[in-house]
Amino acid sequence: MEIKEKEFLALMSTHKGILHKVGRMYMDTAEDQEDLHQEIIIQLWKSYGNFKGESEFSSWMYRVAVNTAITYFKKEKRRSDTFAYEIVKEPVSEPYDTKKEEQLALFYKAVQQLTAVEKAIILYFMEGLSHKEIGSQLGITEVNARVKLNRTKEKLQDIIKKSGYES
Amino acid sequence: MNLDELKSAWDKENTSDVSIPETVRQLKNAQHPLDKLKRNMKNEWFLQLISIIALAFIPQLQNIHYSLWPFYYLAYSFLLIISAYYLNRFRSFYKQITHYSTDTKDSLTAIYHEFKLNIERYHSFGFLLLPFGLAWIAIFICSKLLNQGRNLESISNNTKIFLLVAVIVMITVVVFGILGWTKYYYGKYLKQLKAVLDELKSD
Repeated sequence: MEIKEKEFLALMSTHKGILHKVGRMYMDTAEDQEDLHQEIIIQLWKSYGNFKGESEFSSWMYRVAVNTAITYFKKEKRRSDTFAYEIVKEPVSEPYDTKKEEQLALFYKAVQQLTAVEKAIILYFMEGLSHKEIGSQLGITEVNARVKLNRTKEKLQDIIKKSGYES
Repeated sequence: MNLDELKSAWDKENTSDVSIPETVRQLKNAQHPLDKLKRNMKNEWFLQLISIIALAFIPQLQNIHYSLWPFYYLAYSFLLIISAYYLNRFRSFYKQITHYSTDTKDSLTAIYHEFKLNIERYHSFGFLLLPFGLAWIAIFICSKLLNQGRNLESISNNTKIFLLVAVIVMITVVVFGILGWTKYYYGKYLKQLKAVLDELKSD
């Protein structure tokens, strides 16, 4: 195996959290998430030669992963009311507090009703990116990123409320 | 639900569902729509190339009258020049198009415009093949007549009208066929890309 390939696969292992998060944000079944993980790795490998280290590897990886997920028009989206969370592989034996775990499950379920761009905005927000950084990742202005983020957060809260969740 | 408070759970998520292959070779073929379209285009390219080569042997295969061979090969030369240009452009298009690792808007804009341009190229290539098709039909009919010791003047008026109508119908079918083909194969993807780009526009 070439050094470059080894180096690439090691980076994938280090940053597999990105694959996991993008997969769960954009696909609602374990099978589709797995397909998307693989697709993202393929696209990252194809683009890896162009990575010059001008930005953090994780920023670059997020960008390619999100661009791949946004244009991965694989299947018709399922209706959220038919979404079966149980079939998504659940993390095992992680000492989450139950309330947070339940909230996260609900969060992912609600996110399925967002558009591809809204999902990207929420993903970057959850990763702690500033408005400026979100704008830079998506290629939009800081102001536009702020407006879109606020709207998307409101929309997400509405979806969560309608699902009957009481905080 | 406080999203900021949820970030701690988000950061601690278990990632055991993600399996990283031991080698890149273990990855299956890319199933991304863009890659599928590239594969389609590549297959079409080979098919077009084989068809063009096969067309060189039409006079022999269809037993075209010798006196008409120069006319056929003149039309075929035009076809070759046009095809060489377009097939070369298609080839560089599917080699070049990729997931650009620039920001989302730039990447999608580039892909969208490249696709649109390629569809237009596809249309013009198809339309430019029509004159060759018509020349081929005319040569075929003339050849049949010459082989029977007749010429164009010996065709009845009714047959002439029938041929004219047949040609018009053929042109219409080809034009709409090309437009329909590109719409069916590429239109949906283009529409989805446009919707994402519109969403990225400033409010």
